[in-house]
Order: sequence, then C-alpha cells, then structure tokens
Amino acid sequence: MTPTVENDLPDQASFERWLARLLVAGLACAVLLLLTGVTLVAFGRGHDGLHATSVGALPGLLGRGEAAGFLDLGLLVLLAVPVLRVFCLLAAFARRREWWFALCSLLILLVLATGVVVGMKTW
Amino acid sequence: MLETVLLAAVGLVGGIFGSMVGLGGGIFIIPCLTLFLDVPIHSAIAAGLVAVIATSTSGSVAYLRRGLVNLRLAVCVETVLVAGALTGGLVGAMLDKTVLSAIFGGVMIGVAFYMALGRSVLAHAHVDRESVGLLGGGYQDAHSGQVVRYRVRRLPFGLLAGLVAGNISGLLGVGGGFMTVPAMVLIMKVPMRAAAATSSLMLGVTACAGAVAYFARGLVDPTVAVPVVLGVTVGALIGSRLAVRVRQSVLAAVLAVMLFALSVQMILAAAGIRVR
Repeated sequence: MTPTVENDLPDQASFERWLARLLVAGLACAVLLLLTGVTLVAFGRGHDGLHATSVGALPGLLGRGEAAGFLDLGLLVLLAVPVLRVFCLLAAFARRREWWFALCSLLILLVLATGVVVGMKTW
Repeated sequence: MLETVLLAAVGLVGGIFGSMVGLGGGIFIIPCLTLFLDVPIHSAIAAGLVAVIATSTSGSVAYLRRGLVNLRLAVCVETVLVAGALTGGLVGAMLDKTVLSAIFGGVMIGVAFYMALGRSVLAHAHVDRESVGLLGGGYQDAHSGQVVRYRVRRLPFGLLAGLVAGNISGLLGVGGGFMTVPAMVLIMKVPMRAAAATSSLMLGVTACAGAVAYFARGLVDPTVAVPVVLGVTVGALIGSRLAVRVRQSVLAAVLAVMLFALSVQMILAAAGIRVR
C-alpha cells in the first residue's frame, strides 16, 4: 500500500486495519459477557445481589455462575479496550523507533494506572 | 423490567445521535437518566462514561479502516486529555449532586450552541498543502478522491484546550468531543473529517480515565450501566449507517434544540424545580 503522506510508514494502513479488528474483538467480548449476565439475571441467577462489586470478588462470582460476576467483568473488559489500544500503540511506536510517541503512550498508561491506585485509595 | 428497557432505550437513542453527529452520546444520556428515570447523578455519570467508551470503540472502527485517524496526534492530545479526565473524575465523584447538575446544565447550553452554530463554521477550516511535519497527516477524501494533507499548528494551545476538555469529560461523564473537535479544527488547523475521526478514537481513553475513578470507588452501578451500554452499542451501529442518509445540518439542529431543553430542565432540577 502506498503511503498517503510522507510521514506515513509502509505498514500504516495494515496496522490501522489491525487496530480496528482489535477494537471490534474487544467490544464483541464485552457485549458477549454482558449478554451472558443479562441472560442469567433473566433466569434468576443473582438478580437480587446486583451491585457494584470489587475486582477481588469477581473470580468467586464467576465460579458460582452469578450474573453480577459476568456483568462486572463485561464492564471491566469494555474499560480495558481503550487501554489495550494504547498498549498496542506503545509497542508499534517503539518498534518504529518513534520514541516521542512511544513516551506519550507510556504516559497515558501511567496516568490511567494512577487513576486506579488513587481511586481505590480514596474509596 | 420496564426500567431496564427504558435505560436501554435511552442508550439506544444516545448511541444513534452520538455516532451520527460525532459525539460520545453522554451529553444526551446523562440528563435523560437523571431527569426522566430518577437515576442518581453519580450513577448516571458513571454509566455515561462507560457508554462513551462503547460509542468510541464502535465508531473508531470505521474511521481507522478509512485511514482518517491521525494516531500520532491522538497519543499527543490523549496525554493531556487523560490527565484532565482523571482529576475531573476524582473531583466529580466528591462533588455535591446539586452542584454537579448545575455545572452539567451550563455545559449543555454551550454544547447546544456549538451544535446549532459552530459545526458550520468548523467545516471551513483551511487545509494545508506544504510539508505535513511530524504530527501532520493525510487521507483520501471519499467524495473528491483527492489526498487531503494537513500540518498541525499551535500544538501547545491545542494541548491546553485538551486538558480543559479532559477535565470537563471526567467531571461530567461526557466524552468531551464537543471540545476536542473544535480545538483541533480551529486551533490546530486539522481538517474536520480527520479531527472528528481522531477525536472519536480519543474519547474512549478519555472516558476510560474518568470511568476508572468511578469504578474504583464502586460508583458504576451495573443495573444502570449494563442496559445503557447494550443500548448504546446497538445505537452506535445503527447511527453509523444512518449518518450517510441524513443531512448533518438538520440532525445538528434537532439535537441542539433537544439539548437546550434538557439543559434548562437540568438547571431547574438543580434549583429544586421539577418540570416534566
């Protein structure tokens, strides 16, 4: 594929298409988990216990096949999709030796990680 | 059960409008949840942020496939957007709900004016023909078949606007697209189509920064967020197909009127006056 402008790399278009496929896969995975949770709610598996749960409680809830576990995991997967996209950009920029943009991607991930830590401490 | 269906319906309409006009949809979803379904403002904002991630993810797919997203510019602006969104999210979770509702109503009036007047002005941004530089980019215009090239101008001012946009996003649970798109077009001189596409991708990570703070504090209520997210996902898919058939100017005008009416109700509700 011919680059559109001079700073495009030869694999630019294929990388963008790959990134699009990653977003589709992440969204599909999240929606599937949410629909599983909704189905379990419809069949009365954990309808009364629906509330915001902690990440630590997730394995137990999923193991017992409770709706809350699938719903929270689905929401977490959805939250993780943009983070995963930034990870991929970090790797792609580092591979191309575009260090300034790799550093920006790393900074974004650090701020997001700070958000998790600060949010949990405030809670 | 009826409430769940109504929540999904709000998400569906928000997703359709959001994807059709290039916004996250949170600016429509949050007032509908608080005004008509009596969802507490913090739960509504948390649901709005998660919904924006869904709209951004599904909306960005088409833009990436068409080569409209400027990934280098996206990561630069995202750096300040997430920093602003994180602080906004933490402050927002602590603010009194009346104050938050009043701020939301005020911002919505601004968005309504932007939808009514601003978008036509933005469409006439200049497109550059010289070297694109490190941050610039290009794309093939679908209508003319020409390659549109652009150079990014006044980056520090653009980043400053991004920081403010991120802060409002985290504070109010909206994507911030109504601020990032004009900032990129008017300050950084990025063409409208590239700005909307790049903004669409950035909304996801900005909303994520705000949502993380709400999630960590246990404020994401799955009984509200899940139906809204499912509705928004379907709505965004429908909206992206409808967008090519409906005139954008008509749609923007309709949305502006709706947002203005909702903003007035939001401000009145914050003052303790309920109008339905």
